[in-house]
Amino acid sequence: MSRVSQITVGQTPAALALLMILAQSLFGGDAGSVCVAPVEKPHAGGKSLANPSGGNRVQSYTVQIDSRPPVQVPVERSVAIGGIALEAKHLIKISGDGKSVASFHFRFSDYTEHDLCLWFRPLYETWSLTPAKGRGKTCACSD
Amino acid sequence: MPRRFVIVYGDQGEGVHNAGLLFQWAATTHKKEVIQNAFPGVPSSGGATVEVLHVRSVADLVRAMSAGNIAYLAYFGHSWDSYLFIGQAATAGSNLGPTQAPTVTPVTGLPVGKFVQNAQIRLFGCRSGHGPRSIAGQLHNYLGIAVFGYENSGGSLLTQDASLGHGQRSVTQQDINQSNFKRGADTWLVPINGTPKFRRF
Repeated sequence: MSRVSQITVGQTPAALALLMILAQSLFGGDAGSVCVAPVEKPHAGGKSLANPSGGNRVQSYTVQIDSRPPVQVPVERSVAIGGIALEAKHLIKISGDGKSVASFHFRFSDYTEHDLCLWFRPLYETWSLTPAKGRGKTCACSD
Repeated sequence: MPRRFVIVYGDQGEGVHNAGLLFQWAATTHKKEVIQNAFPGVPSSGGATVEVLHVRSVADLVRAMSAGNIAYLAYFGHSWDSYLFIGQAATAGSNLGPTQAPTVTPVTGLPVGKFVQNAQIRLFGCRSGHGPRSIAGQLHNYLGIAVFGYENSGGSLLTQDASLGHGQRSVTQQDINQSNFKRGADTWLVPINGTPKFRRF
């Protein structure tokens, strides 16, 4: 979007609109993305705030959006799933060690932005889908 | 000695579990509602002093209970099924649970005889009343008083919507997405799925 921001105030609205459409096309404005945050391996010992993944059993997760191929959730870095249609209702299926652990529907229109973050709370072994903005290091797909 | 109403809140957590100041805000909101007799099912304070305390360990909780004459004890913080995850530190007694473990003090480590007749404990934390060995059930069995815990199966979220905070509607995706909280506004801790429902033990 940096090119759009360089347009001077004196340009006509038509030219501005044309450039915005061009920018949307160039930067994928008609599709959304889901950044899947990494999930660390379970630790030994009892679960606690100091050891949130303690005792968790699942060693690795996969995430599947609609009929796309499942994506392995990395241990150390985020992974992006892009080109997701903005208008449609989508299904996220999450498996742990090959077994289904969670699934839910979402629409981008339920959110304030089109770049979402799918992240895991090891203490509670729950998954959340929230806007990527503001999640900081949790979702670092844009770095 | 007057009856005591004690509200405690645990450590905020770190990383993806960091609740910031929201546990404290929820505890402060609860204090106001206890004084106003405005939270469904909670006994009226009848003008008694309502204390709000930060606890970082089971030892802190024991200290909060030690003066006795407790009519109402509420906990805000991290929890899951059989445990209250009170403190952040990886040290003995950070957590309350079913059996002794390196960072866990069992519920039998709490003092008995500190509650008045018809006293109540209410646990505002994830799955505090869920499952066959919930922490709410353990506390009821050991202390012999009424204990309420959320029986919803999901984790928790914090909300500044009173109708959700009082269990009058179900959680929506908008509630889950909420991340901008107004400082000083009333705040509630509720389960992340369905309509908030306490189970009484």
